[in-house]
Amino acid sequence: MTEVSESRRDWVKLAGAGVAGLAVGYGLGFLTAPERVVEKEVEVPTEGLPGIPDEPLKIGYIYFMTGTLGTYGTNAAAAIELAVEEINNNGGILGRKIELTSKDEADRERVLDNISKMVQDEGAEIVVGLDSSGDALKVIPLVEEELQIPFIVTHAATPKLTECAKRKYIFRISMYEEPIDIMAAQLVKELYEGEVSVVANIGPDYAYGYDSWAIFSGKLKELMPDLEFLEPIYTPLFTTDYGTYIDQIKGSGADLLFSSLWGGDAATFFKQAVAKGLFDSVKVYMNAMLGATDTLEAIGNDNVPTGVDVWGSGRYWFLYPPHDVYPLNKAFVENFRRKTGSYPPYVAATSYTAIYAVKKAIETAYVMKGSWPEVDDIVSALEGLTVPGPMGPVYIRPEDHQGLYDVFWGRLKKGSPTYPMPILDDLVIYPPGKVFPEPLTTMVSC
Amino acid sequence: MKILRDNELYSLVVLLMFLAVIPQFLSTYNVRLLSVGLLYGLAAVGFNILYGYTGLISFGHAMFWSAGAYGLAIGLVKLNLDPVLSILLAFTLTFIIAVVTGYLSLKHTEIYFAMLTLAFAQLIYALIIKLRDITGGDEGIYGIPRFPPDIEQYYYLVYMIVALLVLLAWWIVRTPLGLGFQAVRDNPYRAEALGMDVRRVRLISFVLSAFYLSVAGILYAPLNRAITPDIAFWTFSAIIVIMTIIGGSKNMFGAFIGGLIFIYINTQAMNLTEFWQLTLGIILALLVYLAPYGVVGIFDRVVEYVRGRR
Repeated sequence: MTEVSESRRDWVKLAGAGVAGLAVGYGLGFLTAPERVVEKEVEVPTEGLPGIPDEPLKIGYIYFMTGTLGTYGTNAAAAIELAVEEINNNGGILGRKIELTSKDEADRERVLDNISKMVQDEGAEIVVGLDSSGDALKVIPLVEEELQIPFIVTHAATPKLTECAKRKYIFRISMYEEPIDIMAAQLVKELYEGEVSVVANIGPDYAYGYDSWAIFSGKLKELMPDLEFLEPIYTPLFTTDYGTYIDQIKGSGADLLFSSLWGGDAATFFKQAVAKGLFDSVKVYMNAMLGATDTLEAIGNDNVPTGVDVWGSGRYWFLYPPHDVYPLNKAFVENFRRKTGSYPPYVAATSYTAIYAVKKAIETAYVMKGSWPEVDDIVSALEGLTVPGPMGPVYIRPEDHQGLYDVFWGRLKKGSPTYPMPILDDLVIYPPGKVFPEPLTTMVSC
Repeated sequence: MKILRDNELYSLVVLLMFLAVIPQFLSTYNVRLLSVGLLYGLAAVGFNILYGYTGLISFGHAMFWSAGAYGLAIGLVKLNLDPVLSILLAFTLTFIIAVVTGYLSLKHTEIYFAMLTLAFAQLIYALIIKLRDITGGDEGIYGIPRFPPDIEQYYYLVYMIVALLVLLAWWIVRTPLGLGFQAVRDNPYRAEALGMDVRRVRLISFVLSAFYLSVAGILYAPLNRAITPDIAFWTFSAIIVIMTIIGGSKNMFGAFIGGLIFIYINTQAMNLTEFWQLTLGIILALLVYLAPYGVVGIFDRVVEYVRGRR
């Protein structure tokens, strides 16, 4: 119960004091207006403006649309379509309608060709997307030196994308892994100092897994140097039997288990851990990607253990900011459910926000320029922009083009009877200023 | 009779002349696409030295494309070597991998050989993923410089090397060495009885074939300016096999045009439908079923049909 009040307090703190350069006055302004937020705020007319091209504005997106990760793409596409429908039904961007084109990131060897096609052949003026961190790093030279159009990454989470060098055309609106892992360490210090002593890790066997552990353990060592850190365990993607790993952790005496497993792997591991009684010895389990609706659905309401503190985080949680004080999120969740029948996962929220960021940047640049903005004008307008998204106001930091918004960790709880899956409750919210590293710095080696 | 098969050199030269002129009329994107097509074509030609001419099917040729691409990228980006040394590094890497995996795989033929090459290629893939300090692991290597930076100029660099190597392949399979490949393909026992060292001939073909894939990889890395381990995965090996079969493995022209056609079909399928993999699969299945000798075979049949009616 104490966490509930803490989360409230933090929310109040956010609303009252203003955080890390976020335009909070702006944030309060849209609390009352769930839809057409920007129009009411800026009062931009949608017709009869001079200097607006007649043909639609083409935006391209690329995600995994097929295969094992295909739901990422279909959810992102649904959210992008939702944003475009809302904008087009209200007159488009300065009267210019949006048209979409898309490609499948699952065509692994041809990701760069396909992005080039959208821009150079199909006339996309802005591209959003990318699930894979490898792909995000791979597009840097292409976008920065050849295509030179605004490219907004909405999912890939490696710190290297935004923090290793300042990019000119590449932005990332979604949370990356570092603030989540840093907050996890701070949370351990705040809640469990003196209660835990041995820390274990289980994560996926690739860069994301190694980086997450490096960040979390690095920060935690700094905060609580007396803890014992066990050798991290890394498991292959799509492992079906975690039995030996679970036994290994059980036998190691670990009482705090950190994990960066995601998607189906996070659910499979968790269910097997519950069944094998891992949480008899592990007192605190923290999974940086548990706050994903698909993972929670796979876990199911019957697999929520008692006697252990299970914490989950993510890049967006559909119940935060609370619907009663932040109607934009409420409207997004309802509209997304109407469209797809499911609760929005984080890729939906970030891709939806990316489209609104484009809209707001173009409108801002238009105000400055008096005609439809060029690429460089849009890029300048995106730098330092604050755009309201379902996850709260997102501030795009000009120094590194990284989107900043509240970081959360919540406690796993049965969602029944209201929700068909477990939910995160007792949310603890840290404002970006408390957890985001300084721009262009990272604990991961570049 | 058999225009494309019997007049292979003529067909190749016409195609290459066409490819020299066509970029003038294409958008930047299509020039880029055509560059990839040329490299896929080169890969198919290299693969066909082993497959069409020596009678051995490898399911692991992605490892040589990757050896070239990664060798160059590691040299340029990770070790800060100059381009010449980086290319040498790529070739050395390819040569070692080709000789070792070739020597071991060629203890067998047919499907056993294919499975061994697949296994070795997956081993190389695993190494690329694991040796992340050198290869960047799953995140790959980015920031590979391209010279010349302009895509159209780079196209012509690619074009010249590819044209030279494709014509060289046409010539090689007509030299005594190339005839040796075919003798081993048609009847290894007779070839052996005639005093040929069959395993050695096969190994030479394997290494030569690997060299072609390596050059394609070396040119591919700067084209993309970045590489990820996907180019070492078995699916890419499968693509190399598929495009050779689409074009027709009976000669080098068929293999070469197979690479270009594959790129085109793949791109169109993606544009038409979100079920692009299914579409691509159906097209490929139909091609293989209806045209066992590839696109070149279709052309031949059309010509024969027209001539027969006259």
